[in-house]
Amino acid sequence: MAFPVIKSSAYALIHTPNLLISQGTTQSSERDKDPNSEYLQKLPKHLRNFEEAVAYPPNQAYIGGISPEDLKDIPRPWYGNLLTEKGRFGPFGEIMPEDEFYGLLKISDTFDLVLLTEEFSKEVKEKLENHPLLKNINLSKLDKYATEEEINKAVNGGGELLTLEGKVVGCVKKAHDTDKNLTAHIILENLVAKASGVLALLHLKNNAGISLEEIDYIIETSEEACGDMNQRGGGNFAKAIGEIAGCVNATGSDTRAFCAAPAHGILNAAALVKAGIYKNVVVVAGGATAKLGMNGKDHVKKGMPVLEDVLGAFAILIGEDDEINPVIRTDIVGKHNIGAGSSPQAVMQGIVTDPLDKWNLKITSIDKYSVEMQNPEITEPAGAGDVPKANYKMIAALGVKRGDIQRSEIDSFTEKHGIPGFAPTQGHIPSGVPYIGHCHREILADKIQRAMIIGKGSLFLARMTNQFDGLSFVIEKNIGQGKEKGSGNLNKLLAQALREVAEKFETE
Amino acid sequence: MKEKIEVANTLKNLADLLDGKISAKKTRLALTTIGSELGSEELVQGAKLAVRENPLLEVVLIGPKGPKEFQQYNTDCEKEAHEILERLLETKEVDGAVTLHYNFPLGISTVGRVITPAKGRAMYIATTTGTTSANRVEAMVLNGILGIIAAKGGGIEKPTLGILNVEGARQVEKILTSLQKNGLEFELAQSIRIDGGSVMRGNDLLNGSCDVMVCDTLTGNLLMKIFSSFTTGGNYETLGWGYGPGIGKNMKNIISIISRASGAPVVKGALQYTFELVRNNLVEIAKEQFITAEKAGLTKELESIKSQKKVEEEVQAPPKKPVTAEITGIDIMALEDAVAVLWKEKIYAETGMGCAGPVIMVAPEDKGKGIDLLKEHKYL
Repeated sequence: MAFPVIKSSAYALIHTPNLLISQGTTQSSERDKDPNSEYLQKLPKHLRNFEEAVAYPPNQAYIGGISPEDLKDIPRPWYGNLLTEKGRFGPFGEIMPEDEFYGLLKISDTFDLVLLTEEFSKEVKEKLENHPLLKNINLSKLDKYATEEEINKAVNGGGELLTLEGKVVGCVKKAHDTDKNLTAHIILENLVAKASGVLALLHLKNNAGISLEEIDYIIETSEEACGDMNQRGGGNFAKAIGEIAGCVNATGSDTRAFCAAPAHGILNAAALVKAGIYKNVVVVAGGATAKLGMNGKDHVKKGMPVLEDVLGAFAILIGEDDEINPVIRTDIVGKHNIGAGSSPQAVMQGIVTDPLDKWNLKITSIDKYSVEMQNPEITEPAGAGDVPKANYKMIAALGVKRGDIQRSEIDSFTEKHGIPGFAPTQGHIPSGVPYIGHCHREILADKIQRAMIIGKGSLFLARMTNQFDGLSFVIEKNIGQGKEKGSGNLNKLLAQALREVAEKFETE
Repeated sequence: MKEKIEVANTLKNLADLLDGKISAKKTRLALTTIGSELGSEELVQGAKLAVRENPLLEVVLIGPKGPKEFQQYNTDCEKEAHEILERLLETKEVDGAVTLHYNFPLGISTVGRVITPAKGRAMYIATTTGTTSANRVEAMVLNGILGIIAAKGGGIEKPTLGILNVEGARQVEKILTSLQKNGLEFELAQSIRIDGGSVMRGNDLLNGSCDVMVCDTLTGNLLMKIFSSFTTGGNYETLGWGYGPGIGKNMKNIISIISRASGAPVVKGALQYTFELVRNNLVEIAKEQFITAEKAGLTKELESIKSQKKVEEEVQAPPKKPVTAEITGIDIMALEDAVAVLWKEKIYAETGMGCAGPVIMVAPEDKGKGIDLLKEHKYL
């Protein structure tokens, strides 16, 4: 049977320096310890403005403005070599400024929990009415304003402020008097995931050129949890996002697996399509406020801009074979088994080499590996090194062990089969998925034939298991693979019929 | 009644044609005719016998000028002949080849076929030339798989395998039995001797108690020579199908081997043997069988033979405790060594592959000291 295809994808970033200060866990933990700490004092001077975030080469790579390969030709530091000719909109999506995103938060809020001032509401509504995609959705929630008094009251009652350049433009209320799962902080965190997911989904509709009414199912794969005290993490982000975007014929559910969730989500989507249960399935995820400025202290210490100032979001559409778009090889799938142990070798073997072995493929048969595509400029100052490179080195080492490549070829393998990291460190956002848009483009342009998308996760963070996790699948140029050859099948049937007739003659 | 059987046969032939089991398309095989101790005419004679008996076979000669009825590429140089042969295979101008004195890469060995004197049975000898592996037991296990592939290529669905009683036979038997249990399709043969078993004695060789006789390549080569020339005194091989095709995991073409002493009847046999293998798509069978063997645990079994590694100074792990702090930034190649450094200092640590690459996991209270130690030892 034919394989499901990647029909389209969309990628969005939202530049949120104010949420970084108020919601990022590095900053909030610091504030709890010492509100006047040196770091918090210095931080604002290290924040970038919107233009700088738009012109930052890795951000342009994320929205498809440039190819990740182009980053090899741009000297480091990338924040010192901005692409000033590039705009906020790219082939895959956009980089949205914080004010417009606050407007989108309000639009995404169904329980009147986001309060915005009259002045700001009017201002932002005008901007959204000029946004090429948002102008088509219902913006009427922005016609409802809150007074200064209402905002003060909500903030004093545990609300979270929404500010722009030091000015209060609104707040998010807590959603329950006593429920710890519905505090203003959590509501804001979840609304951010929801609203950024909506943005990615709207771009997906635009990129795929389909009507959202054609979507049958949505799988949401972020790292947040929504629910109340009786069912923390009950869900359902997927349906909440689909509702705002306008997927009236879809239902959906959330898939959670830390950073590996997008890979699990895509594989689930591929399975649903291949099984014929649904025709069009979207995998979507919004961004995480908690991780904003995660390595900020190191960035400030090194005198560089705090680069984790963007939220990430993506949406990917998986559909039935159309004989054009790249296929997801549901038969070349790697996974980290519970019994495999957690050593790096066991994890990578399960994810990378086991599926290759099954098909007798060499490690070099995969043109590109998409691993955790974290931007090295963010992680290196914090001592975590170049994450994609470390992963490629591990894959290359397995290749040496299998005899696919020589030890001396490790570097050239990394160069040829790897991709420079370009995604923000938003947990699930960099995990394999950022390359799918580029991979789609490169396969259609015949630049590559086959890519492996790898999602990995650190499950011990939840203190439920010490396991790691990982999942991989292969995306391949569509050459009609998996389809029964028409005449071959016909010949078999005909041959069988002839044999049955022959038998009759023999037994008579 | 006779007509009815004829109709049934015609229908069955048609069905075979549709299934691709037979085809009216000719199979083209190349034959190099240089390097034989018996002269190139002897090899050409073999080609003549082969095409006369098999109307669907066409032979292309590579060597000195031969009879006009054959398409041919003329050369007097053995090296050049092999180059022409490889080119013809690459461009698919021929479907397979029979040659002599050909060097296969490591990992590819030939599976020959002989007539056993006691009962006139065909028996595959795995293997007869080439080097499957430098490790004797590993080589024989792989030879067993190559034998299965050749037998399947010769149309035997579920071949019976015997392991010749040479050094390492018991170990090979154990591994092959395990592969069989885990999905590799073959049966173990039984010795004709009263105590049975699938380890084959000299008597079984003469009797042909199995479809495939598994042995090391040197022994196999010896057997080929004995079985094919015992009627002539040794310098002229008259019986059987030759040393067979080079089979391996990464084989691309079907190239069969004869020896410098192979006479025309063996050349004919080798061409016919190769013809069958082309028709049954040996390359595809090899690919499938290796995937099946891999699934049945081949690599793991082979690793176990070779795992008599030197045990280095082993560092004892300190008592286990929950590790929830990550130390990142350590080179993947040095990760295990870095853990050993921590263990030596009584810090419990584990390696892991987190979402952001390789990590060392320690208890939160040990993180500071661990980082210091790793810095001290230049891991960070």
